[in-house]
Amino acid sequence: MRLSLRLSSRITPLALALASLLGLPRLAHAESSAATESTETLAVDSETASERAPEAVPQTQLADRVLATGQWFWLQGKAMPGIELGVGRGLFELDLELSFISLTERSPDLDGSWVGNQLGVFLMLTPLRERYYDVNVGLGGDFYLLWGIHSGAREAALTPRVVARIWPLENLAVTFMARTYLLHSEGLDLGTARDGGSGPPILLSTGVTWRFF
Amino acid sequence: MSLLSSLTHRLPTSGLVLLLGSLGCAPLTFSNAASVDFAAYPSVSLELGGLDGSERQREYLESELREHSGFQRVLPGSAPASEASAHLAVELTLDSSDDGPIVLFGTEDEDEEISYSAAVSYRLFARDGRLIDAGGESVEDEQSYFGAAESALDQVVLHYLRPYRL
Repeated sequence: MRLSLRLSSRITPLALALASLLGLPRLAHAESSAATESTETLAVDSETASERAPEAVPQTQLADRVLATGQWFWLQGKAMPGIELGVGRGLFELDLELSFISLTERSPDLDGSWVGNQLGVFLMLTPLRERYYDVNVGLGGDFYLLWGIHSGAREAALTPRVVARIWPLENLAVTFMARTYLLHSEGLDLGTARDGGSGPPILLSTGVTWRFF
Repeated sequence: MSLLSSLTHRLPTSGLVLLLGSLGCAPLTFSNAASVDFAAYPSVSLELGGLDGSERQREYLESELREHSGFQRVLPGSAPASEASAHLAVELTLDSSDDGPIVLFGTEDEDEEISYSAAVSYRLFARDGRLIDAGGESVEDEQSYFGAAESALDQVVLHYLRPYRL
């Protein structure tokens, strides 16, 4: 049975052969800039490979990849787990985040520990995208809805962000994110602690990403 | 050679780990500065008037101020003036996109067609009658009469939100 895989010309013949032996069709993962790159066809005559690898990458008109990430933001005195949904096509990716914020240290200014939610919207570019890693840079906004304080308490920031993903498995990645706040509302301060002390104005998060296709 | 190769492969990972370690957890602070000196004015008496101020809305505002504002005590406007260190006078005005009278309880179809807006103005007086603080807010495109009123009153609560630093 013949299985055709479209592969980026950047991928070395050795990697192609290895991929075909392992039945890793998602080397097409690296075909993001397919519009401008030449492609070649690899014919694989292997029953095993055809069974393990579904026919090509199921692509839709709008996206060639859909990703979901569970992540943890590394914050002083706060717990902030979150999820992210990413939809990408070629060089571009739209990421939507939802996170939950609570205090890990009691504060006399808040009854309980629940603070609110963070919503993030980012337009990302993916200049580096290979089988085992990708790097994204982009710009977006972080919006904090501080329900735990008051339903109308909100903060916002203009946020550049860098995302690096390492794909040890075909559909599973370890994700590292870093962001800072270029412009922000008055009541939001990244890099300044509650007691006035200073720290790095870079918010890091790490997570695990699952690639649906 | 294999050692060199191994190091080459590990360098990016090591660099990433070092970067993460050096940056560590970032401080992120949410804060709100007090709009008035709540230490000087710990208690307030509340009066809601205007064309559309009602007892229900006064109770709502009183409850919200009690829960969220920086005032330690919120008293009804009928309380003796000596009991409160300040007096908050709020005026509420409501309007709808419909030219007819405001519908308190309409059908869903009617509610979908009509949008409501509300405006509040507020003035905070010291016990001696001196004006301490004043302002106004408005909301639009609310789906119900009560929703518009409460959203506008929420703006007053937000203005007098207790100071915090989290």
